[in-house]
This record gives sequence, structure tokens and C-alpha cells, in this order.
Amino acid sequence: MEWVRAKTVAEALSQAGPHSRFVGGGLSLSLLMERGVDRPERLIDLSELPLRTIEGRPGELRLGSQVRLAALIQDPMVQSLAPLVRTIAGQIATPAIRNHATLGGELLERTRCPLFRDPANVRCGKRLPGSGCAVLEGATYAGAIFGASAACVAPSASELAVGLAAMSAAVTLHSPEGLGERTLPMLDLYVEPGVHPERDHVLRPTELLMSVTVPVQPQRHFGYARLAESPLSPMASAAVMLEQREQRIVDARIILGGLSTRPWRASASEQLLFGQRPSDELLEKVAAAVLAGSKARSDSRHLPALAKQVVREALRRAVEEHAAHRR
Amino acid sequence: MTERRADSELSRRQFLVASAASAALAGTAAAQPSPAEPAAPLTPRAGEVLLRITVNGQAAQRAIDPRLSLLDLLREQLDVTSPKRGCEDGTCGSCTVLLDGQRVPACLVPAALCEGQAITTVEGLALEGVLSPIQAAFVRHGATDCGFCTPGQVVAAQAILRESWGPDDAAVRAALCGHDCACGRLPQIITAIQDVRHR
Repeated sequence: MEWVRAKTVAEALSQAGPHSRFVGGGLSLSLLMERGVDRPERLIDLSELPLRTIEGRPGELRLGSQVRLAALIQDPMVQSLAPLVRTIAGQIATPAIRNHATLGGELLERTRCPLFRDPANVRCGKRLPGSGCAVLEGATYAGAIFGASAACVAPSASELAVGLAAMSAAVTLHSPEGLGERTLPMLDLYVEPGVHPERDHVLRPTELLMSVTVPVQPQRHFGYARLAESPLSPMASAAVMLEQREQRIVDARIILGGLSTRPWRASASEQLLFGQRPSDELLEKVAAAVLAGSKARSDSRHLPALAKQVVREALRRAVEEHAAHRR
Repeated sequence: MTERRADSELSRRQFLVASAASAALAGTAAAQPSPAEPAAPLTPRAGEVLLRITVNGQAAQRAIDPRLSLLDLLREQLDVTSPKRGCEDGTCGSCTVLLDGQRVPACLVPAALCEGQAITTVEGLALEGVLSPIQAAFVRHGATDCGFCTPGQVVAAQAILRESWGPDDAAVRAALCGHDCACGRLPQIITAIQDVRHR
């Protein structure tokens, strides 16, 4: 086990490999290492890299990947230009955790599936590729109702990704392998488990998440809703973007979290909103439509109702947000 | 407590013992850090990382295993035992310490990340034997019961005094998210914090 205090991004990347991990706040990683779930050989400390800035640029806000969640919550630019980020970050985990956790760490946090986090369970394809899935083989756990495969039902963990996807944010990745820098839409960062549940996202082992760019979009309004059993275990969340012109919805985005193997875009539901005026009936219809493509098992038969509930509530908040701005 | 896997990997206990032994070999006492501790450079062995920190105002340096948590560094190597090991997933708050003035769960913070930083535990709050205002308020309002989580709660309360939370009790309750008190003293803790805030 080796600890590398990287002085530059280039140094951090040159030290990275399949058995290394980048360390931001190190919180989730500590927990996984303590339990023996993750056993990296090299830890690359990013705390000296210049990735802790929040930068206002024309039409966008750039958030460094090493910005701490507490800093996101307190930042006046985030508050005025991307209030949804503040709303979501303020509900993640606990205040003490938010003081140390970083944006990048939250976006790339591994699943909270208890069978993944239990080293005594040897049937977890996310941890031990090709070993199957204890949940699908009968262990009691709800798992995801969207995007699950025959190999994995583990829900994705990030809450900020749900909101940032609704805000059409992009992530910038840096790699030494001739790829240089690439920028992806937030949603394209994540992958469904398919037959390779060991992969959560498209980042290569030698690639570093540098920043998140959030477009400033005053004409759009956002809503977020979340149901949680405890501070560390959100069960379902939804973030909604609505753009209205003369009362009619001209653009919309609905993203679900907690119930899916990756942040989940409910495109069919979005379609129902175009050209419509918001009403209770419409929101109800749209919320019901999010279940298109969902697949509940006997242990997750309660989740479709939660999905509808968070979407309905997030929609309602986005509509209220719009109404408040018109006044 | 979380179950740990007893297999071929070096267990946490074994590696703590090994790290403590290496600290002793390097000529440092595994006791309370003292200002008189030599500033002579420690040479970390392979697989170790050099760490220089300040704990309750006293400088300390150690060559540590990179997997060591801040909590284990404090408790097992520096003999600062007020932060307690509770849930190990960041929800109980009994390991809370101040890291450069910010409260953090010491059980989840890798010690090696704390290079050059100042750590304050409840031992560092009282000045020359005089309780700090928040400690005195905990006593005055009976905000402790079994006492296990109290050091973490007091440190968190100290941090909350400087954080920007709303004025009402509900805001203080939200600020205490992550401090489950099985003894049910949350109302008294909130009263103690409000008392100091209103003074």
C-alpha cells in the first residue's frame, strides 16, 4: 500500500492504474477499505491539486471536482446561479460528512447495495466480476427497478448527479493516454450494469474527473424531491427541469435517482409535458408514465409508488418555482 | 459494529500494532504528543507515509500506514481517546473532531489526508482546566447521559456555534443530523447549544 501526494494533475495521472484510487475526501473509500470491500494498492491524494475552485464564467458555472460539499452549499454563486445544486448538496449525508466529502467523490460513490458492501457475500458481480448477484439469487433487498440486468440490480449512489443531469451539466475528464481532455454530458458518465456490473461509469482507471460545468439557465425552473430512511440511505429521488413560455411547457427533463442502476432519464414522461399547461391531472399522468420500462421484483414492489411520488413532488416544486418567479 | 472479514489480509488490529511498533522503532513515543517532541525527520519505511499534524495545539509526526483512519491515529497512536468508535459509517457522530476548525467524522477520514492540519478534540476545548462555554452548558443542562458519544457531540456543538444555521431549535436539530443519541438527550443538547448561542 502506497500513498502518493500528487503535486500536479500530470503527476496524479502518471501514478494511476487499475489498482490505484484517487482520494478526494476519502470517506466512502475508507469505509470500503475498512470492510475489505476495496483493496487498492496505491492511493493518490488529490488535495494539493488546483481543483477546489468554483468559477463563474459567461453563461456557466464551473465546479472543481475537489470542491467540498459544504463549500458548494455556502458559495454565493452556486446559491444564485445553481440553487438546485445547493438544495441537493444540503441534503446529502450529514453536516460533518459534507465538510469533508468532495463533489467528485459524491459523483463517483459506489453503490449502497448492502450485498456489495458486505465482504462476506461472495456473489456480487460488481465487486467480484462474474460471481453473480446474491439479490437476484434470493437475498432480501429491493435494488433498482430501472436499468437492472440479469447480472446486477445495485442502485447508483450519487444524488448530485440526478440534479446535475436535470440541469444539463457536463463533466470534464482528463487522461494521459492521448485522449487528453474530454467533456461528456453528465448522463453519459454512467453506464448500466449489463453483463459488466463491475463498471459504474466510463472513466478509465487513469482518467481523472476534473470539473463539472453547469449552464446558467434563468429561464428554466427546477424541482427536487427525495425520500430517505436515514441520512445515509436515500431510497428515491427525482429532479425536474421545466421551461415554460406563456404558461405552456416548452422544454422538460425528468431524472430519477436511487431507484435505478444509473441516474435515469424518464424521456417518455418528458414527452407528455411538451406544449401542455401544468395541472394536477397532467402531473399525475406524467408521474404515472415514469414507470415505463421499470421492472419491480417481489422485494421491490413498493418502489414504483415511491418513484411516482418523488416525480410528482419534484414536478410540483418546479411548477411552483416558475410561478414564484412570475410574481 | 460492522462485521470484519478475518481472512488472509492483514487485519486492522495487526497493522495498528505493526504501525505502533514502527513508530516506537523510529524513536517516537506512542503517547500524548508533546511540544518537546524532536523535529528530527522521521524516515517512513516502504508502505508508510510521513504525517505531520497538530493535535490540540501540540505538534506530532508519525510514519503511518496509508490505510490508517484519523480516529485510529488519535486513539491508538497518539493516545487521544475522547473520539469514540461507534457506527463506523458516519451516522453516529461519536468520533467527531475538528479538522482545521471543521467538524468531520474521524473514523472515515484517512489520517494521511490530514498532513499539515490542526485537529481539535474535546481535550482541546477547555483552557487551563476551565470548561469552554459549550462544555459548561452541557453540564448545566444535563446534556450527557451514558457519555459514550458526548465528546463527539460537544465537538459538534462547538462547530455548530460557528456555522450558519437558523436561529430556531429545528435548525439546531438539523445541524445535529448524524448525532443519534440512544440515551435520548437530543433535547438537552439543543437547549445547551441554544443557551450558548443566545449569550
